[in-house]
Amino acid sequence: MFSLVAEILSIIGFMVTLWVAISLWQLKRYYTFKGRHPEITRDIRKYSSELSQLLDSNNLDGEVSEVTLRRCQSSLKALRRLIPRHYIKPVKEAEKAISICITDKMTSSRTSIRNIYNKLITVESDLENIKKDEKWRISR
Amino acid sequence: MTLQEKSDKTVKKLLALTQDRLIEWQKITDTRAITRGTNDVVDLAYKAEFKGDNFIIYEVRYQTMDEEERVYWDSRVNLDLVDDNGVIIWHFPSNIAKWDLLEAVRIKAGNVEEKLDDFLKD
Repeated sequence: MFSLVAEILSIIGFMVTLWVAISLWQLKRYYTFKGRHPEITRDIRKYSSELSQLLDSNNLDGEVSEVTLRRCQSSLKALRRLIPRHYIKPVKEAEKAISICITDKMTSSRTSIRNIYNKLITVESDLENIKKDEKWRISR
Repeated sequence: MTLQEKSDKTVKKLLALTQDRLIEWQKITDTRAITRGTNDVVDLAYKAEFKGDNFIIYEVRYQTMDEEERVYWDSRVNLDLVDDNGVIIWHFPSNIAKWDLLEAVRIKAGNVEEKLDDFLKD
């Protein structure tokens, strides 16, 4: 009888440990995202604005540099690891668009650059929405 | 598709059309109708017609307050759907791409690139 109670308690103990570990992981992820959010938002704005300026030009002589795209990809990768799960899809799509552009050597194609720009704008809108939700969470 | 999604798509489409010079924006220097009844400042607005619909875009400077109630100037970009008389039918909701659209409109309507090319000749 005593061993059965001990077994049940150890199972409950294990479940509590698991719950604490998951909660801690989520908290760590949340606060890292909260801290990095302004910086990543600023970086992505910089890259999308750069792409838009390139598209403003009549002829795309100055093609987008691969370095810029790779830096943008790196910011998106960092964001993907931290952003709430239901916002991940647009981030992945933006990363994919950049990968295709680099692999297919489309860095001077207006269509390809515009496609990346549009995906980045979607990510930026999501980041803006998260920021708004955050304000509400604090004032609650 | 929600209204917000349709609005976002419209802003992106207007930006692409502007960058590819498929839509022409005209300057509006008399902006009194836009700011009537407010303390907002609008120096210049741009108007374009596409498929029978009229759009205007402009930067609005306005006074606001921070959390410590200190007054400061801020700005936002407004994109509106207007009728033939310039009366605003609808304000497009907030969208980060509106800043890029306004920048593209300023460059194209002001023929900035051509002016710089001329200046840099020889």
